[in-house]
Amino acid sequence: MKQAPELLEALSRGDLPGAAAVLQPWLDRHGPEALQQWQHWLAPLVEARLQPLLVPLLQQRAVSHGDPHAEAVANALRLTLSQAAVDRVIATPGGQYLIVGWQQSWSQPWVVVLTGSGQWLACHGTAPPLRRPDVSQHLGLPTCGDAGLLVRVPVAAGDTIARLWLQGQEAAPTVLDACDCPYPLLVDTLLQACQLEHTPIERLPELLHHALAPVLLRACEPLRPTALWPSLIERRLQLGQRHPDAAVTVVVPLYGRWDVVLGQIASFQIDPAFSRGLARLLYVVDDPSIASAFGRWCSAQWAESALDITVVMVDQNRGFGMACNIGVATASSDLVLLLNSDVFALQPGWLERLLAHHASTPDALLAPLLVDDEGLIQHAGMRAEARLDNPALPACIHPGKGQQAALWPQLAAPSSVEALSGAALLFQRQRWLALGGFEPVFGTGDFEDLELSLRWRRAGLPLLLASDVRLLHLEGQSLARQGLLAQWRTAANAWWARKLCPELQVLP
Amino acid sequence: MKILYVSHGHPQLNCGGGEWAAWRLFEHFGPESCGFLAAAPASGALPPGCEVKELAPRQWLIKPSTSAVMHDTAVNLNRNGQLHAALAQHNFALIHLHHYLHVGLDLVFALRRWFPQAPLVLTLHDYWGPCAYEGRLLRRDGQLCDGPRPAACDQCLGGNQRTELAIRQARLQQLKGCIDHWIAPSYFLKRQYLKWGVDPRRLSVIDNLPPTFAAAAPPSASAATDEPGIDVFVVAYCGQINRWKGIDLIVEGFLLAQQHHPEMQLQIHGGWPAAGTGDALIEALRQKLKSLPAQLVQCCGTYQPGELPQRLQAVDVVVMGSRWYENAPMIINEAHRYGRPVLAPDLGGMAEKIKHDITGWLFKPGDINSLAKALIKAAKNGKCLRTNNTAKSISLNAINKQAKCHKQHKAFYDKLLSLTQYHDIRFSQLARDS
Repeated sequence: MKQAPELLEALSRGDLPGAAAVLQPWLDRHGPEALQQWQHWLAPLVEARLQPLLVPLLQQRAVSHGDPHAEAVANALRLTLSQAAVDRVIATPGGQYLIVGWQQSWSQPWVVVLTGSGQWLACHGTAPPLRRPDVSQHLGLPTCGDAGLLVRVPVAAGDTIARLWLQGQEAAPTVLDACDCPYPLLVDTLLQACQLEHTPIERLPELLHHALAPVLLRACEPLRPTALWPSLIERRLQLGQRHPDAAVTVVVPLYGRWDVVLGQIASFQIDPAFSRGLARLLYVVDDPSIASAFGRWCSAQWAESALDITVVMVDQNRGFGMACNIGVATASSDLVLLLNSDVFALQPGWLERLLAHHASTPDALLAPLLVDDEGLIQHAGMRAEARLDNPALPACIHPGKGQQAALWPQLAAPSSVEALSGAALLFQRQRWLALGGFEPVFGTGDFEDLELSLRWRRAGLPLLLASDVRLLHLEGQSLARQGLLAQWRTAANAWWARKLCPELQVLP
Repeated sequence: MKILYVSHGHPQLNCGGGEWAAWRLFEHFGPESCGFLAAAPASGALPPGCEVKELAPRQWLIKPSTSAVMHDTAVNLNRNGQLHAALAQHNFALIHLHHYLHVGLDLVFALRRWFPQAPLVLTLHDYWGPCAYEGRLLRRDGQLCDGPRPAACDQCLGGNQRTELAIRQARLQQLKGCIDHWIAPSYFLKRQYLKWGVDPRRLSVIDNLPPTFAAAAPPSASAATDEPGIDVFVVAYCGQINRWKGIDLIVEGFLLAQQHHPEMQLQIHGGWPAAGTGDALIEALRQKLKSLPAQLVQCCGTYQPGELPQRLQAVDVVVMGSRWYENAPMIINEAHRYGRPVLAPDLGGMAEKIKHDITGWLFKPGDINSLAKALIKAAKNGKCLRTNNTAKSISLNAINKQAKCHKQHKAFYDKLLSLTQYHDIRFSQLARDS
């Protein structure tokens, strides 16, 4: 059986077309005889645990040639493999598929795919296992806790999966088509596929590296061109008085609860800077579930406002960073002030001071000092440190947080800081767009401000804090920060920050 | 004078003091030209699809606010909405708000837009500015509160309300910039609102307009009993029956005092909440009263303001027991008008409406012994109280105050309307303690 080494070699490479090219002619010539002696020539393949790759080829031959021997050998080979099953397949943008399943005994699993266009594809799952107590219970094997698996299968764009084998077991799983789902929802879907209720979060970096990150990068790739951003707006309301010559556009992304806007707008309405036309307001509604109610409320409340207010509804939830990007791209003034919806003015005059500071350093990314409702510092600059529970990941540290803001020095000029919170940022619009804005891969939000800060600094531009301009920040009102999924999101974004920022590769 | 009065309720549907204060001004300054806009007692009080109901010419009910923390307005405030259509034609020259509760802050902001020439006046009826929890400056645990703090207010509201509190605070700051002049019916309330941040130049003290009193003074209490030699002394509580009014304290204090003065009787005039409404304190009080002899404590039921003179005929003193800083309880004015002294806690607006030992007695708030001592003192002076001179003196003072209150409001309105540039600081010229 001189074909065995070539077959072994091709299968070892995961080269199924190569393996098929060796196997098929040989079987055509010696099929019945060879298959009757299969134990002999397949021994090295079994030893190399490559049966999961051979079974699909044999099965395919059984179908295409009506070859009962091929079917018999395939069945026999399957008996040498442990039990495995595919729970579901998640189809994501750009032909990236994620196979979610389990196997009885852990080894790096092989997934074999025959695509709609007839291409063979073998993918070796290198991601760490997932905890599956349900499988363990089902099989009656208490030690089989790490039975879950996640394998990424990239097929060519436009192609599909026609047939699928996991560890030699053919599966006809449910396909969850997530190709058109909003990016933050895709992130959540993939994180939930990691069995986050059971799998230790410490495995997330490896899961991202081996399976999830390429899928997410591919999914957010279309969101990168800045010219595309305004086209993601579905509806637009123009309310109140027009102030076309406003120096700055205040861009406020909205997600989840929007009643905070009542407080924010109230704090702006008593500020003459807004009614005088120094600033325009642009609310970016990044949540279709609130768009209708918020739109109705705005129309009823703001139609006669002395403020210049634009409300844009994004076509689907795009995540905090992208909502900001869309707002910045839509603004028409030279300067943009990004504000969270839960940032309120404490007293009039703050905007003029902030703009004056920026005028002295126009290239800066400039932030005010943020305080909480008890007058304690919430944000006075930011820096990254290693997480205590997972030193490989960065954590955002806010120096001075929790201290009395009244005791914090109010410097006449802005001071340099290592990084800035995305809750309130003033910058030149064109500078932001040239740098590419917030990185879209961060999805729901968190760490995109750290990454942008470091990118801004890498470009040789200053990061400044205006400690004499103080705003109230209620912090995180639209984000569900509690719960397991939120923890996984945060950890995933911390991983992205580290991956994208060389400065974070070695953390203090 | 075309004034739009805005109240948190209509006295036909809500019997609170604030509603009556607004209504009396409306009646006094001309229902033929003024308007009265009030929140309905509940959303269901208006027919489906109806945001504004015209109760009578120039009297409107609107859907009430959905949040007592945010004070939102539940009606469409567009110029094509029902409310604007109802109000716009009247060209009101002045808008006198008696609350933003239930009608909502957005309505106040809308009125500012719709009637830009009309000064906005707000009479404060309680402490909703500094107190997001029931507006009484009384904590959830029953302790008196010295002012708002986010963590403490959040605790009173049940937790997880810090955001709502901050939104509320921002909206109230906007209200501060929107109101041209504030009226406090008591000095105590004024002090609380100054502490809260109202511009002192825009805050005056003017008492609420009392009801139009019956012309004749009712018979004195000595006429209540025909039996010679029996010195019955009747103490009455008149008003709403709820946990904040301290009726349980009154009963306990009364029972203590009654041991020293066996002929003392207590009457409770006012409507009880429906049984089983969940207030343990009120339920306990109800049970307690059932256990007492009927001739000792009588529950006399609810009454309309016009019935008060008749109710007070057999009463020697009126007693209050409130646990919170009442602002300007009308019952004190009413009792005085009919020559009845008032016993009240030395607290909030109550303390400044009573001249101790002259028009009544003040006792230590929440202290049953102090209340009992005050009752005993009142009973000992019973004969004196019943002399026509004392009653007349108290009554005359009250009548004078009523006339003064009418004049003060009229003068205030006139001055306000004479200032064309009402946004100007000249409004501070109005600020005075009446």
